Amino acid sequence: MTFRWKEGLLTLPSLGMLVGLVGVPTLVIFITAFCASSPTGGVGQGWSFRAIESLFQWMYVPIIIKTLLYSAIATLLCILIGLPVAYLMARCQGRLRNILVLAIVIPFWTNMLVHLSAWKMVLHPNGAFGKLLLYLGVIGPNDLLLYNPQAVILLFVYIFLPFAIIPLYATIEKFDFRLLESARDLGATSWQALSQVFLPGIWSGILSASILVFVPVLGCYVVPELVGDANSVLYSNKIAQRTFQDRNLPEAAALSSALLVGMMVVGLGYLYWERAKRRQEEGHE
Amino acid sequence: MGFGKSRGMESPAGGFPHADKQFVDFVKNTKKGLRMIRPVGWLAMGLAVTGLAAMLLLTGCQRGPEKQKLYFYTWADYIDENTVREFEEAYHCEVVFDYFDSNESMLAKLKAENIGYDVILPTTYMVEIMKREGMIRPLDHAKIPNAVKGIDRRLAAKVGDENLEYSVPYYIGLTAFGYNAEKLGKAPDSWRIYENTALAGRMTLLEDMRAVIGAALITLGYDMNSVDPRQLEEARDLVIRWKANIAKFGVDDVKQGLASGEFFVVQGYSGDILQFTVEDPNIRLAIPKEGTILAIDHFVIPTNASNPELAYQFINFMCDPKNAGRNLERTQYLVPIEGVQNYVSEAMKSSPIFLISDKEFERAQLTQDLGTDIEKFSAIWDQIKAAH
Repeated sequence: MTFRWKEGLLTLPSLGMLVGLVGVPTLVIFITAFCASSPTGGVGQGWSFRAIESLFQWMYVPIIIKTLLYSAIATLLCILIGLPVAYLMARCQGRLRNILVLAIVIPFWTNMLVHLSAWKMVLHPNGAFGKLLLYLGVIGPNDLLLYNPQAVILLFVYIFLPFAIIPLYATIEKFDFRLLESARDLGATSWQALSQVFLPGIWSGILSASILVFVPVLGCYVVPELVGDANSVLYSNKIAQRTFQDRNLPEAAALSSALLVGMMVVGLGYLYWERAKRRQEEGHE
Repeated sequence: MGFGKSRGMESPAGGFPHADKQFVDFVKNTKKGLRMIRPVGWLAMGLAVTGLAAMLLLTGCQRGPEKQKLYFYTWADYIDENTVREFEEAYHCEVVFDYFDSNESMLAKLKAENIGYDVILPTTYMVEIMKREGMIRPLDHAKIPNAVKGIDRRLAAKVGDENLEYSVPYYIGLTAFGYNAEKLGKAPDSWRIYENTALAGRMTLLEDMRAVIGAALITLGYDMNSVDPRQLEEARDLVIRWKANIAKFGVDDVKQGLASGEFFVVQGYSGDILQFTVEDPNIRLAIPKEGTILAIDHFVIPTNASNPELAYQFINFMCDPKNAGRNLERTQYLVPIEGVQNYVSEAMKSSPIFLISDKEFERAQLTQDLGTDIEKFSAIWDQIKAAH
């Protein structure tokens, strides 16, 4: 194999950014996980496996299950809501389409904390929405709309919905809708056309949307902290607690590394499976 | 597998199909657009350069003797702005503020970078740590006569620094209840209010393990700094019972929640709560009868301060009873300086912070640095957080 100098040189800036801004910090986290802790915060003298050992506690099992559950529900809801929206956007033409894209993208530029504060006002017991529900008899005078798991899921979905809509839209836009017509011509019901032609056709978009929602939700500790109840402690909140309250950086780093390794195993496993499948298909042809 | 091979694979984990083509189109269009507005761009750039040059010239002309700077590292919203302005005028300097939200983050930042702050305002236990680590300097009493003369020595003794050797205790607060009198009727007088199921979901505890486990230890009649495993377990079980009735653990957002009527009882710091009582008569402060936790923030001067002389002048200025009175009024935290009462408004004189009795004050406990024993608290806190 010959190394193409020009290509190598061109990738250098982005490669440098990737290494410097992603690779090095990640490496620092991994290394910190093997450091001794210091009671004054920060990192102590010498190396230690204590932080890694601290990962193996039963306490983490329900937290991990809860975190995966919350993330999965949020991802599923994002896809279910994102699909029709992205479909609509892709079917619209010209100006209307641009306006729709902007309507998704512009709120996305506002800081997440501003969105969260706005939602806290909307769901406030003395707010208009809360008063309306009270008037309609949906909630009692002492019920809170905030500080419960449903509020956490709602805010996860609200905040990460654009992450789902945009890749879905990008895929659906490229989808050849004549395929649906031919499916119907060939006798497929509209449900069959949807499930056997449309969804497989945009599968890569659904997958990237799911990843783009699932992964950030795993790390988003602000939402459960602000709108969750006393039991809404997710994996990310644990990392935040280790960092800010326990001032035990090695344990925080160990938790982060474990999450990273977990995601990497899943990601690489999927790649491997995908490649094996492709090879098999190529073999059949 | 090498680079050559993998080039053929098209974004296996999803990714945007044809993303590269889209990108190329995007770049082309952008280039075209940019070319169209090129004259405007040149004009804007010319204007910017002229403006910048003009600014440099102007500031160059105005520059007299360089103003000295005081770097003050403190909590947000924690000093009277007018008093700071007067200090700046009196000493021809500029006070540069930087803020921390916890003693721990402050310490971490100091350890990570050599910043050269001149004055810092940490809490008692953090003063102990900083002293032990040699991060703060012993105070020259000749330079802070107002503090030496004015500070309440009974209090200084309580924080173990009777002679103001390393720090000047300045703001005093208590962990207390803020409550909504309209909804509650009667003032909560005991930490056991958290066992009242009628208020379930409308009460909060601090997101602070020392304050919460400490409150439980005090309720059980123990020392809040206890590291005895049996006592900690008892405290844990008590907090788990409380947890079933609270909406959440929190600090800043919880204060807003009390003011806006979301929460009826919150555990908070006295000054924070009192700031809201000024705005809304329905919000009131109550001190639990079992006793509570005292929190005192101290002025310290770091070893590597860049302008220690100015730091002394600043601390001395703030310890003048008149200035202390204004800071007290602004923050609603008690400043233990003799004669401070003479400089606060009539309304302030009847504030609960002046009515805290000597007995309550004597009984209040102080958070101490636990060294490595802090891990015992962390472990208990983990169990509390994980319990259902």
